[in-house]
Amino acid sequence: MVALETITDLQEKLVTEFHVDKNARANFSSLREKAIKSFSSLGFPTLRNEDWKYTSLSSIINLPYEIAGVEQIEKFDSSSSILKERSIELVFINGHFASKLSDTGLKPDGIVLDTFSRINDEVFSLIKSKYGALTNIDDNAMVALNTAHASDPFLVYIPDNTMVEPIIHFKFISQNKDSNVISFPRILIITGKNTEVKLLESFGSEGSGMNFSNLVSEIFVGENSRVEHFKFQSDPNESVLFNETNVVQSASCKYSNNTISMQGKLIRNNLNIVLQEEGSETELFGLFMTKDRNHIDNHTLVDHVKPNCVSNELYKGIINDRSTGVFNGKIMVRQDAQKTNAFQSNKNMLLTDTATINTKPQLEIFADDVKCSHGATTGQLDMEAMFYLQSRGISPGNAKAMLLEAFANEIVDKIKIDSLRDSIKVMLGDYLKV
Amino acid sequence: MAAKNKILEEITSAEYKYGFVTDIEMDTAPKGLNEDIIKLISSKKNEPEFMLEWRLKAYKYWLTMKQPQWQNVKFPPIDYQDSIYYAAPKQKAALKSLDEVDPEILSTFEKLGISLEEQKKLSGVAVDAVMDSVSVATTFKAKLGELGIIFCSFSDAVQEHPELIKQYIGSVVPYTDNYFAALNSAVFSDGSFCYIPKGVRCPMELSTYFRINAANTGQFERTLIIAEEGSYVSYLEGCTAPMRDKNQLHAAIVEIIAHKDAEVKYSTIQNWYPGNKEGVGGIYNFVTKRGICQGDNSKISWTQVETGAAITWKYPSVILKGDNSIGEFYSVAVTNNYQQADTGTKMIHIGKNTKSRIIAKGISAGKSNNSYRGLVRILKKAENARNFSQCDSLLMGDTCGAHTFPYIEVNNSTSKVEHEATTSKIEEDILFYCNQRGLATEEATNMIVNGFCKEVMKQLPMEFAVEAQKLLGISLEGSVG
Repeated sequence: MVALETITDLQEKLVTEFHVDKNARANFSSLREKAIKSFSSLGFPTLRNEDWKYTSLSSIINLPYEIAGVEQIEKFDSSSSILKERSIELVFINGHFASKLSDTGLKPDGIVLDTFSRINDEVFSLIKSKYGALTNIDDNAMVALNTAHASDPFLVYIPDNTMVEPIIHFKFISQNKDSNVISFPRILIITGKNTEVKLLESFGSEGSGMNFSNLVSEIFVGENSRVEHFKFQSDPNESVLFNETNVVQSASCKYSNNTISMQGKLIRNNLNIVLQEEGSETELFGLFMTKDRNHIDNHTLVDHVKPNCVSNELYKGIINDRSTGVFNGKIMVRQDAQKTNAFQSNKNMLLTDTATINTKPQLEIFADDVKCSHGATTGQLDMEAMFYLQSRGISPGNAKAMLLEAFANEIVDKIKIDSLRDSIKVMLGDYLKV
Repeated sequence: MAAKNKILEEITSAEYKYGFVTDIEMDTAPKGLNEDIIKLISSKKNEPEFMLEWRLKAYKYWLTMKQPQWQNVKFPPIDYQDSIYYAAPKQKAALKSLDEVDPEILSTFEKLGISLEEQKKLSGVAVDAVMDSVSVATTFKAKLGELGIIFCSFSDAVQEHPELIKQYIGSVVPYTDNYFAALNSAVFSDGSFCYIPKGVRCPMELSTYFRINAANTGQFERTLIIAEEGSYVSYLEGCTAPMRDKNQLHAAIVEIIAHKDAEVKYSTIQNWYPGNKEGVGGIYNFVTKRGICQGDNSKISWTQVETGAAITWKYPSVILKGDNSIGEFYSVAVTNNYQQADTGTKMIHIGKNTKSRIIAKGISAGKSNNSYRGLVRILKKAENARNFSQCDSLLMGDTCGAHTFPYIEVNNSTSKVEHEATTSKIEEDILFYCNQRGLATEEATNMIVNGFCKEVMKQLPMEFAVEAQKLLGISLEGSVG
């Protein structure tokens, strides 16, 4: 019963320490108050919740936390980067945008990159109705919690007919001084018509305590636009990440997402895509590699609302040691969405008997003129391939690493930014050799 | 489009041909459910003390449970006090031959096309027919008895073989398993019992036929099949009900125990009344079916053709406990009008080198919803376990839905699990190809649907395969244009 009380402790703390300045312009006070009420009644998700059937938060929310405040912003060594070229670098410390540490020198004219409190009235009126439009605070406790506590969300606004050449790189850094910290970064991205943009998210942490990030993003993809989105989730400091991304696509646009998750005590990704208008395309690729006692959970939803859209999804997992991997992919085809083509595939390699993989590919189809399929496989290293390599003088360890790398590269090779792909390959090689 | 709609309307008008009521005097218990009713059922059946105790335990447990909500089906809450839990054709003396059976009942079964007489003579199928709650007749009992095979109604088994019942009842599906299993365990009235002794290969197909006849009754039957070492049995089950406006509940349990080297094949054709085309009435078919491959090298195979019932909610499962044991699940589920089906299987791999195979075909038409929900769980010690699953859905019309919810949980690194699913409609170019060769669209559709289901149909025993194909034809008459 001790555990239960502690859970209530953190929940209570998050509810009682909630405050909102009603007079500030861009604070969405009524939305945030509604969100905290919802969180307070829902509580943290448990295994009884179908969406959290395979992922338990109990060992994490059992700990005492401090809620990240703005004052904790300190200098952070951002010299090492997974990108070689200069990018638009946006640094977030414990969920708060750190403008001094960021580099927006390459920002093209007309695009807006700033927190809600600093954007002008004209831009604010444009985005006001979009904030919170894609999230569900009534049933999703983690999103409600983020919505309540995200005091100053960050906006990326790309006006019509703009092509953003440099990559927009979000660096989420968690910092703590010997105590556990929970933080709430929140991003809103709106692209106009005929735009093109590349987004990269990377994660890092400092400090001996536990870092728990609850990150929620909303992305509006405009007509005829292209958004390429990369997430590289690798934090050797055993931090916890909840990452929900909600995307809505307009007509004839393309959104592609590539999520690579390697290290972290617990990572939960919710990736929800709504194909709201005709003629759009979605590509989702994911690679998750777990070790030790780590836990990585990928939930994706592709919701086909209108006809003539295409979606393609491939997620691969390598599960090692005593770790757990979860994949839950859902394709929804609404009654209106005729001529939909939707494909989904999930392939997993289980390397030990103490590791677990839980996969649940779902199809929910209400239109008849569609082609939809999904497939899921779970297996292990091909012993014949291992023998082949060893008979040519390659040590078992290297042979294993080679085969795993080949398995993983199917996803990594989809990354079109050369420098990013190369540095991920190097890290992957090191990771698989151990 | 207009032609398409017209054809779609035609299917919805396909009538339920088993919707007749047999006028027989019924011996029914009062409406409602309480301890007294359970005691009444138990005493009517002259059961030994341990059965009553077990029923009451199940009932008490049931009272603490809530009806599950996770299925992908919608229905108004069931009033469990508004049902009759025991209804028997009024006729008491024990029966030795068919001549003693009420001719009214016999003619009911004749209308169903399963004339006991005919089957007895021609097909050599031993039939145990259950009407409402009581087993009416069991054919071939004596002949099977020579081989040591026990095939009788559940009530007779309780009287004649209480030690077997006591040992096995609830051993695969305990009353704590789920809401409807607990309800069934408390109030079940009859069913079939089958015991195949060591090394015996049952020479004929055993068959049960279930029919709900009385109004406002729930049918709660229970089937128990025990296959001793090295034995084999093929078991068939069929179900129908007359048309009624009210929804009737059918909550059955089937338990199968396969010992070392034994093989059990269980086939079902379910054709309960699906409700009318506005979705009024019909049977709620909430069934728990599970088998356990207890011994090494044993095999359990489920085949089902589900065309009826307003709501179908069932997952015939296999627990693969013995090493090298095999579990199979073949299913065709057809839904039309407002029918809802949430069906699939569970394969639990415990032993080494266990294999399972799942082939599920769903066809949805009208305003129906058809879901496949399945679980494949490989436990840590299940070395070299192997699973292959394939579920395909065919959609006819844009007002129906097809859904797939596979759960795959793997804890062993030497196992291989594959899952595949596809959803589509009948391709226009395939239809065009058939039309071009002089086949009418309707004929062509029939051919394509039969081809789509062939992998499952060929698993059915001969007698059933014919009936199943006819049923498919009726439910999908002219369904695609």
